[in-house]
This record gives sequence, structure tokens and C-alpha cells, in this order.
Amino acid sequence: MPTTLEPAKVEEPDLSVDVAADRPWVVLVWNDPINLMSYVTHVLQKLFGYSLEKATVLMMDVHEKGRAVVASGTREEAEMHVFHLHEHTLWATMEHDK
Amino acid sequence: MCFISTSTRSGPRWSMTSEWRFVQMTKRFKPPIFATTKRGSTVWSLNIGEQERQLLARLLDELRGLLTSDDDPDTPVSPVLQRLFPVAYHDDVEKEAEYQRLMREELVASRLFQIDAVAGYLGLDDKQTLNEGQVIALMQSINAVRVVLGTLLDVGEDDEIGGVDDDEDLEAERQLYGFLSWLLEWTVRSFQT
Repeated sequence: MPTTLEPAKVEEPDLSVDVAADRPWVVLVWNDPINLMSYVTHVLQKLFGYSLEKATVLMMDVHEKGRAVVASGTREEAEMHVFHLHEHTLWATMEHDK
Repeated sequence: MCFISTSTRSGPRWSMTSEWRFVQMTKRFKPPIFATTKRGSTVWSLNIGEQERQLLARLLDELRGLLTSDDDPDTPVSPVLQRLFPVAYHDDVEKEAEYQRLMREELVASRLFQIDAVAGYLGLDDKQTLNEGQVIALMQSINAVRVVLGTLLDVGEDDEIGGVDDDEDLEAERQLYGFLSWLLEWTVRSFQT
């Protein structure tokens, strides 16, 4: 029986993998000269339940800054949001939150 | 400008009459689509003529053809199809391929469902009212056709049509794009009233 504490070997988890998996996904809508501003605002209200004010701010971000994060969540949730935005012919993509 | 103004008090009588007639005329204007609510239930009326209904039906037929056309793997994907089926993962080729494999058919099925819903009532009596789901289908389908036409016309910011201004061959597409934009704007507005 050892009389002193011996260092135990601990398996270090690969944090880089877990952190990437846990990071939420964000859904982006990109500027697009074809979609009407009123239409984009309406779609954001309908799909995400945003107020007219919030949807208008996001639409203006898309219009003026080129893109805006409109939602976030798990990969499955983000994919479903992207799908519904594509159904409305909005130009949407998803990526890991940075 | 305000047409209700009576600033022509000292002006000729005919101008007041003309203004009054103009106001009456604009009051009688009925949008191409509008909602009415009775006893808490909202229905929509599509107030367009038979020719416009037939035009919409033909455009939707063409959209259906585009959505169901077979991709030739040796031909680059056209900008129109790229726009109808945008990428979901722009920075991950592997995930993008998986997404398209799983979701593209779903997207086609959803669009065809909407087209069929719209085509179904375009042929009906124009007194027939629409429910919310039918108006959403109309809105999505109109915009899908706009996206096709807008891509062909290379539409830029502020509706500028790039590179084809002098191309008379695309004049019909330009007119259709304008008509659909007008109808879409009124459709969106009908949800707010």
C-alpha cells in the first residue's frame, strides 16, 4: 500500500471537439436585391414570431450590412430555420457561432 | 402631396371638383388582394381579372417545370436553379452535400404543394374567398417566380435591372417582374390589415 499520494494518470478529454459540438449554430439571411423589404420583414415576423420593430431592424441590417443573424440554436433547429427561409426564397445559410 | 387639401379655394371651381372626383375614385380603388374580417374570421379576396389569373397559372406551370427538370451532371448548375436551391452551409462542403441530399427533395415537394394549392383556386369562380394558408401559398409562389425572373434580368439594388436595359427581348420578363412585385407587395400588405 503506497504511503504517499501518487499522481494518477488522467485521460484529458478532447475539449476542441466538445466545444465545437456545444457551440450553437446561427442562421444568417443575406442581402438579395430581388426580395422586397416588406416581404423579408413579413417572413421574419411569421417564421420567428418577431415584432414588426424587431423584424424591421433585422431586415435593415440585411439590407445595409449585407447580412444579419436572425436565429440561433442546435444544428437541427438551425437546419429547419434555413429550410423554412429557403421555402420563402430568402437567401439563408447557417454556421457555427463565432 | 395631399389630395384632401382645399388650398384651391381662390382657384377655379373645376379644380376642386376634379380633386373631389379624384378622391372618390381612389376611395373606390380595391387592391388586387385584400382581407376582410367578419365575426373574428378573416378571409381574402383575389381581385384580379381572368387574364391575370390565366397568366399566373401559366407562370406557375413554368415554375413547376423548372423545379422538376432533371439536372444534367455534365452541365454547370444555372444561376436560376442556384437561386431556387441556395446553399445552407457556405463554408462546409461535406455538410452542404448532406443537407442537399436530405432537404432538396423536401424543398421541391413543398414548392409543388404550394403551386398546386394556388393553381387549384385560380381556376375557381373569382367570388371564391381564400384562407390564410392559400394566401401564404400564393405569396411564396409569386416570390419564387419573381426570383426566377429577377435572376434572368440580373436585378440589382433598388430594382435596377442590370446589363439588359437595352435588351428588348426581355421586355416581357421585365413587365412580368413588375406585375408580380406589385401583386406581392399588396399580398404582404393584406396580412397587416
